[in-house]
Amino acid sequence: MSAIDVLEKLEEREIEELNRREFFKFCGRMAVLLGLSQTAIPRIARAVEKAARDGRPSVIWLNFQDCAGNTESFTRATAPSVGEALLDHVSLDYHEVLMAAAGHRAEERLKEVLKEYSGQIIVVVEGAIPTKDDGIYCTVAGRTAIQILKEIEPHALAFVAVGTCAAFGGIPKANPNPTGAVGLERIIRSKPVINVPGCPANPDVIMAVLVHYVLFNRLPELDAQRRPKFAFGKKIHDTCERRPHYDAGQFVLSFDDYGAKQGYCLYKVGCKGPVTYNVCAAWRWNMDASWPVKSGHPCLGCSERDFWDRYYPFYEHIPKTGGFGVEARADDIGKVALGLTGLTVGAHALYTAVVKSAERFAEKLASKAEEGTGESEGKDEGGEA
Amino acid sequence: MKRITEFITAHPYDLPVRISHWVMAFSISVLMITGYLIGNPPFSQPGDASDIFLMGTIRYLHFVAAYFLTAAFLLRLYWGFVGSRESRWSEMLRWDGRFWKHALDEILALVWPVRPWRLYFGHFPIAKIAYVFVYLAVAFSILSGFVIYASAQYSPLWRFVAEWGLKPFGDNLNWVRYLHHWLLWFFAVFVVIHVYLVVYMAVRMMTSEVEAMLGGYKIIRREDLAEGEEVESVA
Ligand code: HEM
Ligand code: HEM
Ligand code: SF4
Repeated sequence: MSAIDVLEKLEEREIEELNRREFFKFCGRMAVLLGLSQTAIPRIARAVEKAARDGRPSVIWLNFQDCAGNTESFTRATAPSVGEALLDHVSLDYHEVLMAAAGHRAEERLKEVLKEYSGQIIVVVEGAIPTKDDGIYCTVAGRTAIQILKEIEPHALAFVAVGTCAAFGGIPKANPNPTGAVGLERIIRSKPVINVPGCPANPDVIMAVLVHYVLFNRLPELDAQRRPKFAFGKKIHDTCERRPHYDAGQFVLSFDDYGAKQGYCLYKVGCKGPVTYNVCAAWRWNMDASWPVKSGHPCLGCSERDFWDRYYPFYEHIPKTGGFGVEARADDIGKVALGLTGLTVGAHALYTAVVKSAERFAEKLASKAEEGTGESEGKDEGGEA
Repeated sequence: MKRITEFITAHPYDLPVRISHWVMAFSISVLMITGYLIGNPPFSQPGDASDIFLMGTIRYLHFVAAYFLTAAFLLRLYWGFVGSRESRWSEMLRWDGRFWKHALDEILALVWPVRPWRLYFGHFPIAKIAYVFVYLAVAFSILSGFVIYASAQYSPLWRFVAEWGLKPFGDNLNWVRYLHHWLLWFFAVFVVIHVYLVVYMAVRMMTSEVEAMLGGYKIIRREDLAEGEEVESVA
């Protein structure tokens, strides 16, 4: 159903019916994303409705060193229109970007929420947290990000770090990291932290984490980097629709060549799919329309730790090697080293041969002068016996 | 006046050492070639993807060779604790005063070929240093290689390796791949020097080093032995 259909339906005042259908569509998608069977759909619907009725868990959303890209992404979650998501399906009680209140009112609301729902608050955090100089590089209402988080921590049920910045420090943490930015997991010690990295994070995955909680009353299973396994269990490369071209060895060599038109694999133009965990290939973006590799651009590895430093250059296979004056490719340095080794070895062979024959020549001269019986001849061939 | 030449038949390399050496040599050669092709595939041909499996085959060969290398390495690792004198890690790492004297002697004989070239019961001293780094590199190739390998495997055991094996690398898979890539050039340079020196010795001193690595026995002229080198003769 396109956005235009939605608007038309709204005008026809079929909003009730529309919401209901959209709502079940949403529950169906959540079931798929969480790996549940179809029979789970009514259960999801009941659980989400109950959560919306009770207004808990309460969700508050904090923005720190970020670009609000995850908020943008969240408002484009596939099934529910943003209004529904906010008002019905989750009770988003505080979100600086989306809430109507502002200034002191907003901060009062936050205090109320902390008091009212203490222990039942899921705190979504977007953006990295600066730690240098007491964290003064990011303040909201006069308090630093660290102060705000420490104040909320005792009241929280769990934290969800959305986006690579909140999860791993992301772009603010990129070398030389002027603000001492870190991911949320370095600040929050006493409460669970769920990482949903990505630049931005996939909106449906953020929703699915919340739905998982209201459905099962516990947080989803996490991997060693605290990412939900249902979304980060597989690499892009292992779910990519261009994969058959990779296995065949059919590559795009430049963005306007035959291979690009044929939809060949983007490995040679720097695709980081082989080293990136995310759902993009299976759970695409913008109403399931597309994702970077589908649209012809190599994966940048945006959901990986330190991707800005260690997955760069984006259009090359592996990072460059510094310390050689200019940044060079490992293979170029390697080839030079191998060439020099070959030359050295060759030169040494030649050198030995020359010195040795000179030595033998000198010996011959000496023995001739002595008029001896050639006793010294056995010396070099001795090993043959 | 007739000089008497005494020959010693030595048996420095046990069978497990020899097997592991040649399995390693062969598998590392395959790993270098296939690894280079994985990192820099020089091909891209048209056709129906379902008919071709070129990249897949290259990766397959890399992984088969990787398992062989791992087996050979584990065998050698074990034998270094239970094998004969020259197989032992304690001997490989015995970098004492005598060892450094021998190493200096070897370097001088390479720099100034008129100096006599000395022979040893087992390994040459400089080579021993190199072998320690080679075994470290092999161990690293196995660790890093299996971390990358595990990232595409989905059984619980492989998931465990993929998730926790990544920790020492700062949880960064591309960094593992980058470091793994460098192995190629480390081994390439080593093999050139290694094979050169083996051939060099064979030509300059008519030694039976390669024969020793193949069949286990080598013949050394007593007077060529390095000073203080202890030999166990079998004949
Ligand atoms: C001397 C030993 C080895 C050398 C020289 C070597 C070399 C290489 C090179 C150059 C690459 C390409 C890296 C890139 O993408 O730029 C590679 C990839 C790889 N190697 Fe090795 N390797 C060795 C041993 C191993 C071992 C023991 C394993 C264990 C399983 C292994 C597993 C892998 C894997 C999984 C990849 C990635 C393949 C892919 O991208 O699909 N390697 N290797
Ligand atoms: C990838 C290729 C190769 C690797 C990684 C390699 C590695 C090694 C290592 C680690 C050792 C020490 C053995 C031990 O554990 O005690 C060794 C010894 C030896 N290798 Fe290789 N080797 C390779 C290829 C070759 C080739 C092609 C030849 C023959 C031309 C050769 C001949 C020898 C000989 C004669 C020794 C004994 C030398 C000594 O006593 O110092 N190797 N090699
Ligand atoms: S386009 Fe990227 S993710 Fe897809 S198969 Fe090629 S390398 Fe893998």
